[in-house]
Amino acid sequence: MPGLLLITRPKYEDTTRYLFYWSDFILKESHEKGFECIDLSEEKATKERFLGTLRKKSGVRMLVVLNGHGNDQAITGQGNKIIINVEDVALLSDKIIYARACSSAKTLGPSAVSAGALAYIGYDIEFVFFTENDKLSRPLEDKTAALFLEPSNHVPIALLKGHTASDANHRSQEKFLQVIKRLVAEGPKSVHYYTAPFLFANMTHQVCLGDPMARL
Amino acid sequence: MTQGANGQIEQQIPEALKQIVIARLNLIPNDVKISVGAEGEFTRDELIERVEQDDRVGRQVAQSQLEFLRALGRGQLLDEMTTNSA
Repeated sequence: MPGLLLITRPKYEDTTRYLFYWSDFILKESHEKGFECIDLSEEKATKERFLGTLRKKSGVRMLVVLNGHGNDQAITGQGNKIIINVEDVALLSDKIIYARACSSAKTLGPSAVSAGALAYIGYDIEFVFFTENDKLSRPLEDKTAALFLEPSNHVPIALLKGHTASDANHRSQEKFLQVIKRLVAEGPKSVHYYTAPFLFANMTHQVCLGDPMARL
Repeated sequence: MTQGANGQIEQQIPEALKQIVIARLNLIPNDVKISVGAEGEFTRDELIERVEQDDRVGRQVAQSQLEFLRALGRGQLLDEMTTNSA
């Protein structure tokens, strides 16, 4: 039986457009690994569709990837409308979740784990990234954004490869650390040196909750 | 008191730290923006303004810079590199 990936990819302004396109690498990995993929992109990234899919897949171990804006209580989908909040966490039971959204590992993540989610990887502060003004229409060519989005992509990619939740988190953090160390070694003359503190924040505030040994 | 037991900036950004943070933010080129989730996107000057205003975004930026400087001070970001260069 193939594994299952449920991913949300709203796209309505610059931030979500970047997350939308950079999620292509996650989709590519899922296809290569033979995962069935439910892609709730753009107008499909709604609460009704997301929670409806989770209801249909109740009890099924699967990877859930959420891209969007968030806070400690909720994550949003298309049009910045809430797609899941703390009242819905029971539907995340038996799931491994990666949330590329702000602050959701403060309350939403622990609530999901308490309600039966196997593991929840997310951020306990704002997830930040830089964009180059002349690359806004071509997000995948943005080398500054890549410094942030490539390492974060490694969480779901490692999970799809069969690594445990803890290992996926560490592998992603190691990718962040490699970039940071290179920038520190290059010093202030590096064109991207200014990103190092922000990369460090994303790395250190990317947390893995629940069962560290959970895997797909 | 501006920092909690876990080192988080809980009230105001200390003036000395604010000046250090602003000096470091001035390294950001003016042809990029930073996306701070639902808070929005900010240019370098807007980010500096938020630090000066000492609001939520400004405090997170200051906290991030402080944590990074502490890690640098501990040598945490150089250890592996010096090991590998041997």
